[in-house]
Amino acid sequence: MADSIANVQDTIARPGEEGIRARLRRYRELRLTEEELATVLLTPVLLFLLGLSFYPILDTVWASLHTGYVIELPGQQRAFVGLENYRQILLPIGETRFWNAFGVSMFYTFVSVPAELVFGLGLALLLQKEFTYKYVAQAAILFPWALPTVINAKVWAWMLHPDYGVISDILVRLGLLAEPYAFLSKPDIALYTMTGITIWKTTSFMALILLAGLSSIPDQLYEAARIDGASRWRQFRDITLPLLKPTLLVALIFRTLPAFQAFGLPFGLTGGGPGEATATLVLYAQQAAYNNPGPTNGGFATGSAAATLITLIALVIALVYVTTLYEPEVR
Amino acid sequence: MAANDKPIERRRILQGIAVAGGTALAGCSGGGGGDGSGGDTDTQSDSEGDSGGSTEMDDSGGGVSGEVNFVHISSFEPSAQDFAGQFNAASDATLETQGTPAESSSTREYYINQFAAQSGSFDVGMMDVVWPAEFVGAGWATSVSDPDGNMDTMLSTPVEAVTLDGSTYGMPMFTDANGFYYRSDWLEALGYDEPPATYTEVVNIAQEAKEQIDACENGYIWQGGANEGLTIMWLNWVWGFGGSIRDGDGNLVVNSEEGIQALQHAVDLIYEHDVTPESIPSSGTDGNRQTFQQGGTMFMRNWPYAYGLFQDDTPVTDSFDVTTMPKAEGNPDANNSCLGGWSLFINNFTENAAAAQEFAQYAGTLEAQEILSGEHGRLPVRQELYEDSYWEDSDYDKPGNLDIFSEILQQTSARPATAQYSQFSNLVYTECNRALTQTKSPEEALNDAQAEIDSEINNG
Repeated sequence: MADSIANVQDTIARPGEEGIRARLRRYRELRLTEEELATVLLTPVLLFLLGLSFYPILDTVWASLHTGYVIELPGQQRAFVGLENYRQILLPIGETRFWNAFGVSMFYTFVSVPAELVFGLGLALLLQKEFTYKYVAQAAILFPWALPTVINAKVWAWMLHPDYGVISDILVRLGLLAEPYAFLSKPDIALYTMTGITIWKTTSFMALILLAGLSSIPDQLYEAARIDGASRWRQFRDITLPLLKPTLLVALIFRTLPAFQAFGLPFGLTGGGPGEATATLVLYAQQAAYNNPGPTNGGFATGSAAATLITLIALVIALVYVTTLYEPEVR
Repeated sequence: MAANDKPIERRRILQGIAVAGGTALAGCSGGGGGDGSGGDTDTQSDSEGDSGGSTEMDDSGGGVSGEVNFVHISSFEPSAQDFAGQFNAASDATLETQGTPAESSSTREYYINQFAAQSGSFDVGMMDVVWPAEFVGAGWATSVSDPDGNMDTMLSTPVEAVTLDGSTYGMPMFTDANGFYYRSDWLEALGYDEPPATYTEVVNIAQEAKEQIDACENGYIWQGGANEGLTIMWLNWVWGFGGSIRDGDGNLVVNSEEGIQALQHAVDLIYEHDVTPESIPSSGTDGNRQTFQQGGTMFMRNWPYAYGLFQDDTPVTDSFDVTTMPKAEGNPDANNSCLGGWSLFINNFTENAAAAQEFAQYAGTLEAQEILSGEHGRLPVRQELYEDSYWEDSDYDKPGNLDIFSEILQQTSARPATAQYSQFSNLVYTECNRALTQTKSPEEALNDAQAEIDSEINNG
């Protein structure tokens, strides 16, 4: 293939002036210029993204500027209302259900992700060492991450049940609690518990990504550092961390955005309760959409506006990461 | 307010139906839902593809044939299978069944996704007693005919629940009402002849049980989690205190004196009287049923289905009973059990309306009702089945729960019929749940709920 491209570029000085016949023949023989090859290879994925990602996003944004039905079909009209849905969600600032959900999601995200990063890095450093049954350990560590989120949520809900749950039972038997504790019935504790569960579940994912990054750091660098007498901490600070930065960026984006869009865990664990203490942004958007979806009430439009806001916030977070952590020269 | 909108609504719907046939498929390719998760709507086009081929042939004639796709809540699976067996034997049409999640809120979300795309991927669905106003108002459910007069001998409240502007939009299948479950063996051990009839008696007996009976861990359990169950629970108490949630102008009012009293009573059961465990604010209906079933609980408020499940060799099988809901002192005639129950509705976008109508009528027949009651422990809607004489010729014995629940059914009230019921309930249970976890006082919680109800619902 590389030969044929070179060949084409040699023989055709100005592809633009090539005759149609010659061009068709060249296509038949699959001799493509670099631009043409790129177009052919990129088109499927672009179509895929346009159809399944950009179109739904734009359609959601468009729906958020309307009230009434979410899809216009015969007999179901909707009316353009501009930013009215956003005004209802956002104002007065700090006092609507959206802002409560925003606070919950911010806490959930920015407590869990740093914790996952620290624990994940620790796990990755341990897993990097050679030991017997290393692969068994790696597989075992991945287990919580492989568990479907809603099932994970239900399992934890039962384990945390004050009457039948194993956690209260163990704590009582150890003498740490005088009587069974209803973790999910206390607003603050329920949020901490939910955050703890997600740390447990996704630390392993973080570890896996960081492990890949660690194994791409050449051993010679450590060897040279040791010869120069660098301490283990110096090696970690001046070799491991800088070279791990691109991987850290990927890992942070991969964890922060899903954490910000958490739905399955609060849905399965608490349903957003007690009150709205664990209602994350996406859970709020879902409730707003389905509570009131009829033609005259515009719940879907409210839900679309909330979804758009969530997307925008997620974009801002991703941008902050990219601008602070991305360094083109470190590859 | 809703009544004035209806005729316009319906005209628009009819216009819609006229052109809807050809566009149903196009509708399914429409974009993502409003929940920000994009991929959810994919399944729609799949199911459309499945049923499309088989239903198209029925467009020309009015004859009853083809497939009727029946969507039911997952817990109805065994009954749906029995229905399919009987219906397929008697009809030229065949019944295909499809389950949705057990929670009724998830089932409603499934329907709404289909409706928004005007999808005819299912023909008949199960409708909770609080949905007709919304489904009919939005033009999603079409009217159900009753040529055989099955509804004439039905209990009046389930029929009223599906009747809007004089037309029926559902075929009642079974009804539901809250009962007060208690441990009959413990009650006797404590020296009582009768189950408690008032709130004070409930508290006193529950406290005695916790003190005197070693195995008794919970005095009284009820649905306190942030979901529909808590709205119903609060309504039980509001009605029990003699309150109402509609004022003279038809507005929804939750922060009335009785409303606050009701929520205060719930909070007191947990923190003042110490008869309800602190885990109740995160509990759900079936979790409580399982807790009571393990033994260790004196009182529980629940639905009739628990009665059937407790018969199957459980720790409480021979030592429980159920009675009417207790009420506040001085208010013995309160109708404070909440009416539940399910009917069949016909999807307005169905392409097989004739067969769908036939199946809806089947659900109201005595033979269908007998299976639901005799085999599956549901409360039938046909009055005949509450008579002893009916069961003499039946293959089944008269189910044990019919007598007591026919008395309980006399004491029911219905949740408010409004197209925005789901939103109303969400506001109520969220704020009540805050009071139950002592984040707010009952009065603050209900005032906050009222402010939102006024701006979101009463003004609309």
